[in-house]
Amino acid sequence: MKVHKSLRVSAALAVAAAVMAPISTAVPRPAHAASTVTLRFATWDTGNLLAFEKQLTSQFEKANPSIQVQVEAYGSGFDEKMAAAFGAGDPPDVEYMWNFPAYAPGLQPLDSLIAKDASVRSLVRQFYPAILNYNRFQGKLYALPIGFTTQVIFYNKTLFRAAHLAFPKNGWTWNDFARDARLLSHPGAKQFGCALPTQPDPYDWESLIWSNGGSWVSPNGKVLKGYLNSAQNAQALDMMGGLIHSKACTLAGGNNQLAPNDLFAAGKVALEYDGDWPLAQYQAAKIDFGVVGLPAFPGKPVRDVIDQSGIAISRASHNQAAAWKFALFYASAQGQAVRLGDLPVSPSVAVNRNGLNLLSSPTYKAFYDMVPSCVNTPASSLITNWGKVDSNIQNAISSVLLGQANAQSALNDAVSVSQRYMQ
Amino acid sequence: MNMAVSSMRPRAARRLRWGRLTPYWFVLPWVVGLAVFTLGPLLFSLVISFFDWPIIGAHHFIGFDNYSTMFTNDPLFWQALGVTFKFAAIFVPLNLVSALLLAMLLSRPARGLSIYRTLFYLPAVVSGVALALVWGWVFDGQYGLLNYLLSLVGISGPDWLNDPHWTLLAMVIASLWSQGAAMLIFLAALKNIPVELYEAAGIDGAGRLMTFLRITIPMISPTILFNLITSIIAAFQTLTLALVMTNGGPVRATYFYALYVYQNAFQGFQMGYASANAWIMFLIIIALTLIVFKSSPRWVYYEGDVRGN
Repeated sequence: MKVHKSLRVSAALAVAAAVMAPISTAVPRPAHAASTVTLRFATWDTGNLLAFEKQLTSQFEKANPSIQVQVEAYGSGFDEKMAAAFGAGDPPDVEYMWNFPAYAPGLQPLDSLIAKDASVRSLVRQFYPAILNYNRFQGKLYALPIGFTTQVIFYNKTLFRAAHLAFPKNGWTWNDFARDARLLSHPGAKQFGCALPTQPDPYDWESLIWSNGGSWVSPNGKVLKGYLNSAQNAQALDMMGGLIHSKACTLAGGNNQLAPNDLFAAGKVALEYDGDWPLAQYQAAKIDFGVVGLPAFPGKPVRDVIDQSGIAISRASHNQAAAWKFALFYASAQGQAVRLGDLPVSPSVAVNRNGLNLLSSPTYKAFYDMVPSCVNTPASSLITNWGKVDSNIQNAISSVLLGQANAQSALNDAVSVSQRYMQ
Repeated sequence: MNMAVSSMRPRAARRLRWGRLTPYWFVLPWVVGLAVFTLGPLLFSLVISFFDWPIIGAHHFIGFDNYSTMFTNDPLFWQALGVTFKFAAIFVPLNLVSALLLAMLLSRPARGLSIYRTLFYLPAVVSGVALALVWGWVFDGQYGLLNYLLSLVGISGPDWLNDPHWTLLAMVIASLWSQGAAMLIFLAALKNIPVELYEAAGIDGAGRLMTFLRITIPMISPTILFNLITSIIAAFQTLTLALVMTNGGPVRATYFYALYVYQNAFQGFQMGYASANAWIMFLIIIALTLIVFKSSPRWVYYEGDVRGN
């Protein structure tokens, strides 16, 4: 068979194209001078929050011309993308971080870096200690806090006024909450005393459990039996289930469905148990709302949990010095002042953020008032396989809220299914 | 023309050898892609299924421990399998029947058929995530479109995605909406049935039902076989709807096996265990496919087959 030269050339080009394609589609890096460092920074924020972060990175780049920051916004796929990046040995240099038990082996401990520099020690002392501690795992600090929220109760002032009920105040109890929810619930008119998520986050509901004297796990993070399925936990969950079954509260949410905050923003719900995430939504919806701290169980101190973001450095980063510089800048007072989507983690910034004293503002005060009650260590910081245990606890809570099981048997099941994940 | 290479002049012999290699050069990019992006990861997953392979940290060889844990010490494995089998048992027959019914409707002469064909096929090309989001709004218990339509005829619809008794059915309905591909394949098969067979049946006095059962079904039985196998595979690999609409809830009523594998990998960070889960899913699908194939000589008729009554 006669093979034309043109055919041989075509075949060679096809092979070359196939080989070169992966190289040509690799993530492009901008052309810089040889001394410029490019830092990869991964965040889970999008939209307005991402805009604040890009503004901050621009300020950092102007102050540090030899460092370029490549912002990688992973959005709702953040956990999966981080898992894939760390698993592939190619994590970003700097990233938002919350799951320290899972990622600790891949993160740079910061204690020695902090100890070396007096100005850094001074910066770290400015953080709320309770918030800083959430970035520790097994005694080591793995991230600097950059934003937080506590769990609070939002209440619809219009609905309260219409029902001639006094607004909730700090120091109230879960009995007060249940009474108000019952009085404000009119299911026929699609108005409810409160809305609870169908699949609550056990991390956030740990505040409820702690307030009743219980916990998801033993203090050393090794034992579930007797803690997860304790009588106090069952009592707390049965109370919440009772609110649903008495129709004082409704269930809402589940993945990508109308969530409790959506119903609150629509004026359909009088009380909502949440963090600061829906604040902007409520302000945009022009709901006349108030914010109050969590209720307590009678005779017991109220306890709350902190949801916080930290900025961490990957151990595999080849730009440790630049990454540390960026992390410090991001967590500094300047960074906290720019990131308007996050509550400042330093009192010095909270008292004057763009002229507003958040510690006395009616909208933000309750979040800070709850910080002193955040004295417990969350189970997610104690259990290495929290991801699996968390889903089993969530399943137990859901089954109680849906009336599929009483709390004690649901929690007993969660203990037996989760036992194999405890190391 | 055959030529002994040894009897050729060297240059001609080189040209002949090069000519024999040319087809392989052309398929080489595809083969390299298959090896790197499919076979490679497949074999890698088989290897790590015998390891304790966390996302971060050291990997340890543990032999068959992942497999034995799955069967003896993980209730979620059985729960996920049960949900998936239940879903497949409902979805697969409904998928075949509805796709065939739609294809039969489209095979009849009518005006605007091409528009209907396009409309029925469109959902199959829409992104699964977009579909799941839309169905999530349709099925909303308080403000969803479906319950609103039901209320117009006096029916109080359930909380589709938050009531464990109804959620799996909601998943089936959402999945059935994307059966455009099966419908098109049935349509092509129906169009290929010789008209003479129907004419002969008409002359012999066969009614519609008899014609359907004795002519249409046997003639499209190879297509039924194909769609049956692809439906079974699709049912066992359902992930997007569960991940986006329900995350396996409520109370794991829609905890599909693919979601179980996904969560073991990306929430439990147990890559080795998740790989073992995936290989068991592969073996289950292979087994079901083989069972269907084994049964096919009894009910699938190929052109040229001669069977006794």
